[in-house]
Amino acid sequence: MTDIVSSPISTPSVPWLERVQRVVTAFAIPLAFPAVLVLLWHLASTYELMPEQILPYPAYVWDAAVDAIVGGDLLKQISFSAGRVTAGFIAGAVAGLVLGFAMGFWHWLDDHVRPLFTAISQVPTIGWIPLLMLFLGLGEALKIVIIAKAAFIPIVMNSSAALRSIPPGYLEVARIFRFNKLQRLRLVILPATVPPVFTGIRYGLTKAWTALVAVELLASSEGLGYQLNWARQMFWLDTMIFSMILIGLVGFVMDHILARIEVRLQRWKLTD
Amino acid sequence: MPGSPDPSARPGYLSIRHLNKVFRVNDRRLQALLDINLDVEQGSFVTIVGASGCGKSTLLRIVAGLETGEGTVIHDGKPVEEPSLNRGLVFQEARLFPWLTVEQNVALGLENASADARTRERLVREHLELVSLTDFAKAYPRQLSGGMAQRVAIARGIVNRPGLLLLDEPFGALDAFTRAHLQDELQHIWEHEHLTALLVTHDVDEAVLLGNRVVVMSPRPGRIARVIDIPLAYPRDRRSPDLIYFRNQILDELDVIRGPRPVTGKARDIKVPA
Ligand SMILES: Nc1ncnc2c1ncn2[C@@H]1O[C@H](COP(=O)(O)OP(=O)(O)OP(=O)(O)O)[C@@H](O)[C@H]1O
Ligand SMILES: [Mg+2]
Repeated sequence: MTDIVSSPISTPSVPWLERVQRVVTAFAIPLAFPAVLVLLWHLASTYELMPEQILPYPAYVWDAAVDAIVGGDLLKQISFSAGRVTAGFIAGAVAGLVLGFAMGFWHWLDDHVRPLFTAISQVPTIGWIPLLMLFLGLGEALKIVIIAKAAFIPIVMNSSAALRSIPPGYLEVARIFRFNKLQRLRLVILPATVPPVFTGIRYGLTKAWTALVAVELLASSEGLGYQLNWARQMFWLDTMIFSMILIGLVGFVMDHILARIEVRLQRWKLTD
Repeated sequence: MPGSPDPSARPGYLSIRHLNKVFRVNDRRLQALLDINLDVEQGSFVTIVGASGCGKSTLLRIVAGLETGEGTVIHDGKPVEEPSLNRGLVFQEARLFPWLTVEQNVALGLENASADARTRERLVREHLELVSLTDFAKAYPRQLSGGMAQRVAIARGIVNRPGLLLLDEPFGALDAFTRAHLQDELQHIWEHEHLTALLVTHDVDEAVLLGNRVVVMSPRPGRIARVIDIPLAYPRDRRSPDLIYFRNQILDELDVIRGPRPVTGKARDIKVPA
């Protein structure tokens, strides 16, 4: 009889077991696939499917990473890149939000600006580098402008569409209760536009990071993109692969931080 | 026109005179409302029934001030030109703001009221109690069922005590049980809070149960076909046989609007196999 009473359903769940489960789902699942890839990579190097100069052992890449971290060189490169992407992204995001919201508010402005904007956004970021090099030289200004432009495009697109996508029914509720401009902004427009605007911001940051690497590859003497290119020229394949992994990781972390902010701003959307 | 008010009579609390509304759809004129004349007395409960597309929502939106038509609409002595806090509108869909909690949504109705913070809090609490949602004050709309969301919308619509409460098929999307419950609750609120109500529905039973006057509309163009007074005391019981008489009158009127029924296919034409 006691067996039935203490059946698993009625037992209160064990806290530490729950925590282990949470850690497993948080890390094990997203890391399983990369781990398999590293294993395959290791096997490929071991059986020399490719010459070692082209595909070094994962362990060598790891050693190169440890060297870079211990030597302090890595931190220097990251801070160069992070500084550039921060400056460029903030400039592009502010300009993009201003223009995007203005286009959403005023149709006449949209009519005037949209065609040129669409045409500009069709030219890939790299395509702008030659022209801007002539105007701005090879200095920091070039990099910041390129990164800002990359972030600017998706932020304009999403924030101008966000205002148009507010359900008209909500605005009618605002009229029924005779909201003034400020109340409409605070209670309807801002909360309704947070999701699409934030999608634009996240996408803009990804674009900015990608553009950073591109511009550092072409015109720079420091930063992660430069390190990647330099390692290729020196045939330090381990450093090259490590730089690529790092670029991906930093981008991932930045996107993750923005995703967390997004969730906080939209707590009403959470499921429980 | 039987039952319509004499257009020259003294205007009531809400008074609609020669109201027309034309929409333009693909360069064609669509007469949504044709010469609507209607008076609603203070403290009365008027219901409007009619087939889909006969202009019920359009009429309500014009009275609310969300839309304009030709003709005059006078509420409480003033012509209706834009929305007013003295007119509340409950939409067919709840239209709660998903980013606000239930109590914050109800408080929207007090956003421009003159009450101080303490009074607002008390009013919101009282109205949540009125629609039996006190336990859900801190919940978000996505955590509510359709019927609960509609109750929040009703609380939001009446929290500021509009003199005239306009309801556009507020229970249309609900199941029969919830609808019956909310109809009883609405009767109760209307009686105890001395509201004036104008409710649009396509449910004849609902129109008869709630209205002390039922306006039957006919479509294309949207007109008032008939106005039927229902002099029964409140609260009304939906099982009361007295309601059936009025219900049948309205169904007859809707049959006239629909035109003669096809003669074939009647039960007596079906041959019973020997
Ligand atoms: N904004 C609009 N533009 C053009 N036509 C409209 C508009 N709103 C309503 N109409 C037309 O006016 C007529 C009446 O519409 P309305 O929404 O008032 O009908 P209703 O009686 O409320 O119908 P339902 O019971 O289906 O809600 C319909 O033929 C509709 O097509
Ligand atoms: Mg309608």
